[in-house]
Amino acid sequence: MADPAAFADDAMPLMSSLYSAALRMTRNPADAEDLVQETYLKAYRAYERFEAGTNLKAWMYRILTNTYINAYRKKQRRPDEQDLDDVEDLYLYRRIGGLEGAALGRSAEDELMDMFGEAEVKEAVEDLPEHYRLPILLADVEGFAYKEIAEILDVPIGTVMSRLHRGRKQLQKRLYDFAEKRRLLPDATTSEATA
Amino acid sequence: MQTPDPDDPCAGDTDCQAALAEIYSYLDRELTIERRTIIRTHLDACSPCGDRYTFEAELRQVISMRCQESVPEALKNRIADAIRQEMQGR
Repeated sequence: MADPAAFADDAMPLMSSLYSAALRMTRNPADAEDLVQETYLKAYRAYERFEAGTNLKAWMYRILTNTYINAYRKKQRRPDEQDLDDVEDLYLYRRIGGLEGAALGRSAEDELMDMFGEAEVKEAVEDLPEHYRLPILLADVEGFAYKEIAEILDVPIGTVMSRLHRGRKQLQKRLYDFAEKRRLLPDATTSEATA
Repeated sequence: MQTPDPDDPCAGDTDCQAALAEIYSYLDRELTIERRTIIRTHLDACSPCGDRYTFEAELRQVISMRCQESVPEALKNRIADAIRQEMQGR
């Protein structure tokens, strides 16, 4: 049994990670703040049932996700939230993967940081349909294992893997569309040649 | 679904195809040690596959970094206060 007095020490450091996820889920700061506060209160009240020594972060994420799904999702669902057509694997690499060689001494990461600013990445993630958005946040942003994600979202592990596979391609497509729209690519129409 | 690309040196290679099929499982650290070693060896030996892996790994880094938020001070205080009240009240 976990000691309630230890809750603040153990759980408070997780707040920025939970708040980041809450913002991507609710897509607005006021709801994200309420969601995080509710998550902390629920977690505190249930803390006696938390098994000490197990993964507190995964446990808090499960509460966050359930609270979001039960209380916020209905009003959050956007009519424009849609599944894009499936695209090929390594979608972005095939289009812009060759670019980093062009600039002297720069890593692909620097190039990608220039190409995809904070606003673009956040919008691309937030535009994903929820069944892709949540696994991607948990895997790619928070680094949870498939098994942990399956437990947090209460779906089979195979479902987690297929959603990650499809969702990542959709995220890459959205990122590419942003870059193309902002004309950051040398020549979007002939970009195949640079890939 | 994937159309073979005539310019892709890895297109017909079964080792490359196997490595690419597991590139995300590798990145997600979800492979057994045996599979992990096989894929790592291939990525080190085959530069087109290595480049693809590096790109995916760096893209993941960028996405993760771009999604980090700092918590508003007011929220931190609000939650600390709420928990303190719970501790005293119950």
